[in-house]
Amino acid sequence: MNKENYFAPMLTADQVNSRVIEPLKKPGKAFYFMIALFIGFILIGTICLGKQIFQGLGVAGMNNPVAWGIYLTNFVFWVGIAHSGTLISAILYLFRSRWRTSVNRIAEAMTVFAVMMAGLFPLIHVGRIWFAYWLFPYPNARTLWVNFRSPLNWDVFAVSTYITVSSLFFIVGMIPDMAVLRDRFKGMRSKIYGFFAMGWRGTHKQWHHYETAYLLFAALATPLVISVHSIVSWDFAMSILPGWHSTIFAPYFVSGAIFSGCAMVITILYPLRKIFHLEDLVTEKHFTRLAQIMLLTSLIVTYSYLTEFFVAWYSNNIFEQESFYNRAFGYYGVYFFIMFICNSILPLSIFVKKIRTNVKILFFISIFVNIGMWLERFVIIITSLSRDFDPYAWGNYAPTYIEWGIFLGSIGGFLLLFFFFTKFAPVVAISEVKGQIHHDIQGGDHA
Amino acid sequence: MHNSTNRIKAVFSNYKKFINALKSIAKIQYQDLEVFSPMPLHDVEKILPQRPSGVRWFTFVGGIIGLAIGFGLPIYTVLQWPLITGGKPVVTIQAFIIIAFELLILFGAIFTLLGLLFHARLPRQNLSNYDGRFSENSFGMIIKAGDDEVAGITELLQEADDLVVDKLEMLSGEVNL
Repeated sequence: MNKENYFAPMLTADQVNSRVIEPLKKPGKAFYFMIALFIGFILIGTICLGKQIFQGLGVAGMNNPVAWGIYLTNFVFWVGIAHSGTLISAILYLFRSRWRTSVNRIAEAMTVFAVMMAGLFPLIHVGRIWFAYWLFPYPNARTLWVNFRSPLNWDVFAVSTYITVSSLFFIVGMIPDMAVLRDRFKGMRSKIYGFFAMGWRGTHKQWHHYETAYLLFAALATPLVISVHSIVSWDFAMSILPGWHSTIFAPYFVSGAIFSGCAMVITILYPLRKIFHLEDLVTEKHFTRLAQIMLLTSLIVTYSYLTEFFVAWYSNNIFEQESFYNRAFGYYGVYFFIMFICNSILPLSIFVKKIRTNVKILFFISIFVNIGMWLERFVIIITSLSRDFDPYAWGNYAPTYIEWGIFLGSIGGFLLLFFFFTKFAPVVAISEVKGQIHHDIQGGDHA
Repeated sequence: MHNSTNRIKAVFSNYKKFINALKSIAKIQYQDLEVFSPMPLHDVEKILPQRPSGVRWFTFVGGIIGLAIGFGLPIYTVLQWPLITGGKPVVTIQAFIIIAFELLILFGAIFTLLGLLFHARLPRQNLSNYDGRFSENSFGMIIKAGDDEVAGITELLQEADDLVVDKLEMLSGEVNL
């Protein structure tokens, strides 16, 4: 096991409480300003959505042949962001990675909020949002049920399972920390934290069952996270459209999701660490580790990009070949190249140790990766649809301000939820960090 | 004769002393012993071994239920309207595996939560013997003892390995008539 110390030297368990609880105190002016800004974003999104609901889906840019526009791009983007949380909290837990303890709470919160945003987009996309319950299996008047053979229906099950399980994981993971807050605060706040702590006392029996439950949650969440994005990729891969109909989509999407998720963790962690003075708990080493996962997944994603082109060429199928030629050099070619630079070229710099250990540079790289990964979904969805088999059915698509507005609204919603989370819940898993420090000091073997 | 039951609470800030005290208490086999800590402690697990947690059975049962529903629901519903489309069989197990897989995870996770709540006795209202320091950086134990045992335990707590207990409290326990 790697015995490297991930925290600042001399950090004691006593300090962990105060470090984590400090951000929960009364917020400053900047906080309210940001809240107002995000509510503004949400208002813009809501107004755009309202216009779409009252006037119809025609206000969005989608039309034949591009019937899946940036709503679906956003859906895949947010689901992708959601994947790193479970990666960091569940998969790295199973691998006993010691560095996860400082960042897992933030990543889990990100997961829950990102899935919430993702879940909205299929509903917005279908237009008549008030019929959204049709997606769920129930017998209608003619005892007709949903089509369980449809990948879109698999998606309903996958995403709703994911939102439930990741929320449970998030809430259960916070039980001991809520008890810490219950004991530190007085009055109303203590009562509210006490409600979420559910009367946690930290007895050895409770810890025993808690650890087992946490392990089982991690064991369930790990295959889940891989299945969810595989199923999202099958929304595309199950069709016969050139550019979508591909067997490598599942691993390609899963690694892309983890790639974008780690980038989003860095993007959020960097300012958060500065604002809340968490430098002792979240050190450069954590960023380096995240960057290394980013680099690995970036290489997998790049390999997938190249494989797609190779397979198109090697298949000798003119539709495949034309589809991929068009992806790189067609109407949307510029987005493909921006995507390729952001996702494949730029992350290569992480190989350089000076860059890997420089938090500021990593922050900038992560922003480009976020943009690149959004563009990846845009490129896959829109270029494939816009150039079908039949040249007569070709057509271009551009998102309207309604679609951009709703996207902005979802960013606002995500960040607002995240800001509230940082004010009301511990941003670092207190008991896990304490356990880590305890074992580092006592030299206990906890494998 | 009244045989009243007392509870002795000891709070430690030093981990080594806490473990030493726990070892000596555990030697005389106290069943009614509760140990408190702000983080899971594997030393405590060694001193007070417990059977593997029953939470895993909840997970298992939940998973089985989810799997059954995941196959049962789609098979039942397609048989309600057995229309052949695309020349494919009506009961398409390959497609239903995905539904079954997702529901296995969903029910497994929900049952894990129920198992945790059941076994860890949560949620609970009564925190009367609890000490806020147990969630900070202190370790503690509450030992249930009869009238005749109190003196012995107190002595043991104080003497074990030159131990200084930060706080030793007698908590009035339930009185068994």
